Amino acid sequence: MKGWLLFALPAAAALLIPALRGTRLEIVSGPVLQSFATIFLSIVLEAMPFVMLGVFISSLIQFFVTEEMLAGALPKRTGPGLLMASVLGFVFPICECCSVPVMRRLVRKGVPLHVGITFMMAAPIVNPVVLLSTYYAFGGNVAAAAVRAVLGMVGAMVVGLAATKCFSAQEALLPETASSVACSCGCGHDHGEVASTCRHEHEHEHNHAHDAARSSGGASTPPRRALSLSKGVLEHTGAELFSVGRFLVLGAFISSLAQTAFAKDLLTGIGQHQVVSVVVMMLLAFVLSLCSEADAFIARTFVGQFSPGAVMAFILLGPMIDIKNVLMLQEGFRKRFVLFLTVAAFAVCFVLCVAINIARL
Amino acid sequence: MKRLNHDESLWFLILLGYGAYIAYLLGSGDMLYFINPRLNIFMGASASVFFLLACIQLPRLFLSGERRRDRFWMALFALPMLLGVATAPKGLHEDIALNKGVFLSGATGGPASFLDAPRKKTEPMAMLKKMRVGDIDSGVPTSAAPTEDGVFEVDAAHFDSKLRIVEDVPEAFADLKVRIAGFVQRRSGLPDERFFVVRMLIVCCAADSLVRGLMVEWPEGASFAPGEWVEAEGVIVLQEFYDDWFLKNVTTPMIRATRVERSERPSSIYVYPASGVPVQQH
Repeated sequence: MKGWLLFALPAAAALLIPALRGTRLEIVSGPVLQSFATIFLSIVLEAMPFVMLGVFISSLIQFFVTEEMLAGALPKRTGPGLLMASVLGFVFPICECCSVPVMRRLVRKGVPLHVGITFMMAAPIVNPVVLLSTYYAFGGNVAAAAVRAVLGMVGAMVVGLAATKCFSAQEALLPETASSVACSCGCGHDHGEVASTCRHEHEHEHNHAHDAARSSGGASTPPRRALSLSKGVLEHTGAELFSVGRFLVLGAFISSLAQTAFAKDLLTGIGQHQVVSVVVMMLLAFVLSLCSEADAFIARTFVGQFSPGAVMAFILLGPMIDIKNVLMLQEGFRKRFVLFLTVAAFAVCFVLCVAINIARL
Repeated sequence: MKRLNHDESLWFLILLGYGAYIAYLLGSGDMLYFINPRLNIFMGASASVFFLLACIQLPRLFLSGERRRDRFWMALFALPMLLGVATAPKGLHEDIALNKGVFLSGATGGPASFLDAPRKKTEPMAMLKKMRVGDIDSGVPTSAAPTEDGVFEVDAAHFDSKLRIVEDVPEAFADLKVRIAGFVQRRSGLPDERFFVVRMLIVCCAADSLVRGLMVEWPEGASFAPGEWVEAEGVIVLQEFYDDWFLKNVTTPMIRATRVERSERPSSIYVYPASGVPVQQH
């Protein structure tokens, strides 16, 4: 019953408040709530297609990519694996919203942890669209985009390496639950609902032909198999959208609160401190959770008020880890591991960006 | 008779609701308050996927079995849509803009080190007549040349494009008459007679918006409050300041106003960047 109330109250508010608008509830049309709602919705609306793309790719990997295929495609040694993962974003351009579900699925499929982490953190930085926007934002300066790309790759590789030294994939991943929907054999059926829907013996034969035939009770023809697989992929996409999307919403909510309440002028005065300014800008990037395609334009507004290392920290840390990603990572990874990743990303960015400030002294 | 599965039904309603809400925003044009129009194609795709997932969800409405989704999380997932319906946001307010810094490409608007820069003799009219700026509404490049009365107007449709031209080649605009409309923003450290006339530039979405505009110098500047809408007209003078990112002096334009008047607030305070490279030399 309590669960229904949680849903019913906001729904009732959604229906009643518009009816009362223009009467006594001026707060609804007030600038603060209007701006908060605009920012909150804009983050969710903008990120949603890319989260959808991420969970769709994740579903495709789940159904069509086997552990053997990945093992054959990836370098066996750590060094080449890290390097390959750090540049994959050039040819596989995805943003930070998309990279989390893709990485999670890849690691579940047996991709080494360091490769997955490095890919997740580097791809939103070395994405060509992001580098182009950095180039434009910094007045057509190639160096700004190049420094961002190189530091992003280095930072992601260091975090990836540290992660693999401290955690195994089993230690990092949460066990798959019923709500994670599809089994890894790619049959397209829900382990959580085997009893009620599939009614087939889940033998894990890795024979995809079995599901359509058994669930339909008829012959396994190619069109029927394709239909069953498509349905399975879409059901998996929907389930993952719920798993990841709820954390996106939570992250967007916190970020919107910060954007509505935070005045940039509050930071005036600490911007030129070589160390404190870097910490402040990293925290800001973490909380604001901006899209990596646009964050360089925001960062440019800090130039002159903040040290160069601090400005770089803003565009380096945000795509690697932010509050939205941390929450999305909770779905699939253990809290201890997510905390480790967050601290490691902060530490690496801090060292790199303070080094920039020291080099410019 | 089969019993309705409440969890699956709620999830179905949420998927359907999101699809309908996004479709409504696109259809009504209200999406402009949240997202740059160049991303509308993604919004359309997003609505379609929500509808598709809702269709896929249909057979599960009468599924018997254990609860699979926590209702708290479902309520949270639905929150943006419900808040959108409840408040019908009409975009950011100027107050939020005042929390952000002004973005000047090639300049920061830093208050401390403005100096009068030596002016170059150029042929701005001839140069401007050769320039084209992208139009965010029509997509068709239009001339950046001044209007018939000889004023270079930084209008809403070409706001970012025209500012970029001015900032890229400020020397060409020295002493040129210019007109700009926007709201007033101030910065600590600047004297009262100097303020910015700005608008909100939506790069991707409202959360990533920038405050974009030009600095204006007007002796009675103190009479305008931050957030107040004005139209300023004057001539462009060049200022120079030290940019500690590029470690060099940068020249940036400022309007020495001959007229500043209060104006009506437009229905949307947003402007959008022109797609691609905004300036084409012919």
